[in-house]
Amino acid sequence: MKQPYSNARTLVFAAERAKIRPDYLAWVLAKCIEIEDLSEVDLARFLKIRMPQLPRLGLCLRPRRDHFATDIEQISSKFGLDSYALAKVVRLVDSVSVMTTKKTDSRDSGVLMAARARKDKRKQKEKEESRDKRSKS
Amino acid sequence: MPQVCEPARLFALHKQLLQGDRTASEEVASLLLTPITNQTSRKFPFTDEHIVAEGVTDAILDYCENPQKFDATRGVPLDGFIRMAARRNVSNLLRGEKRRKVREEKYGRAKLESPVELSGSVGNLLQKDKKMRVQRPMAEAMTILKDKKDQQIHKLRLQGERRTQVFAQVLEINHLTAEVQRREVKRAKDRIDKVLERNKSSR
Repeated sequence: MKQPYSNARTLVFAAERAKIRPDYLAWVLAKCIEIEDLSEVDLARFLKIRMPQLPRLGLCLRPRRDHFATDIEQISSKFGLDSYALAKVVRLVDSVSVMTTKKTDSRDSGVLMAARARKDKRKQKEKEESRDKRSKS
Repeated sequence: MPQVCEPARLFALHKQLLQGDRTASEEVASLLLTPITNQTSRKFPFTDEHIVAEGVTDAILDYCENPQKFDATRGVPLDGFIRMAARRNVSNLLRGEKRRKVREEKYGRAKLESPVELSGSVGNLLQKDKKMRVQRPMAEAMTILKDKKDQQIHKLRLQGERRTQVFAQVLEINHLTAEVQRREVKRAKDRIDKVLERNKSSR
């Protein structure tokens, strides 16, 4: 006979599953843990939230860009956590994920172009040097 | 199926989700996860609980991501809608699992039969295993079959012999026509199978 599922267990499981869904706060929190190399306890302390509440927080949808302040406020007031800290976490993850996703498809972006130009200059310099050596010899 | 929550409460949560409430998803999960997981688990009694939990969780997370998927005007309650989605997810997961198992078995068989040269010890193990697979049933059958000819026929079959003439030789009927030989050999094989089967079922 199977044991009935408990609420705490299913919520923790769901929060784990939500970590692979970018629409959920669980994904944001997991990314933050990864970026900052934190433990869940550290993150809970930073957000000023009790550990057992972390899976519940993860099951909330992530704040929308166009309603960022109100969404942050809504989530923070529900869980009684530090809204400034939550906003910081979301912003950090947003910025890092924007940079990492842009990296792959930003052939024409300024960052890559600048890097390329420097590389080209170095190559050119090397070529010129080798040409000079050859002409001297 | 019993209602897991007040329909009015669920409808209010659905509305909140449609309006972009960020915390309603947590409430939906808190309200529906456990009861629907228990119901789905009863529907799939011999299924791994992890698969059931995965199916239900995904159904709820999918719905919260896209609450527009649920049409309240159709008269289906929200918990019923999620329950159905969860069952579909579990069925799909089970089907996928089954397909994966078949593929793995097929791949494993192909690997086992492949002519790739393995290290000495592995080769020995495989040979030993193959030998055991033939020897064990042979030893068992020899104790059951009393007739010498039957024993010999069974031994040949386990060794993979398929030619009728060889069996006919054992039965000492090579002087008969090919047709009769085939019939007699088949009869002998069937008789042996029946004896072995009867013995197996009586144990």
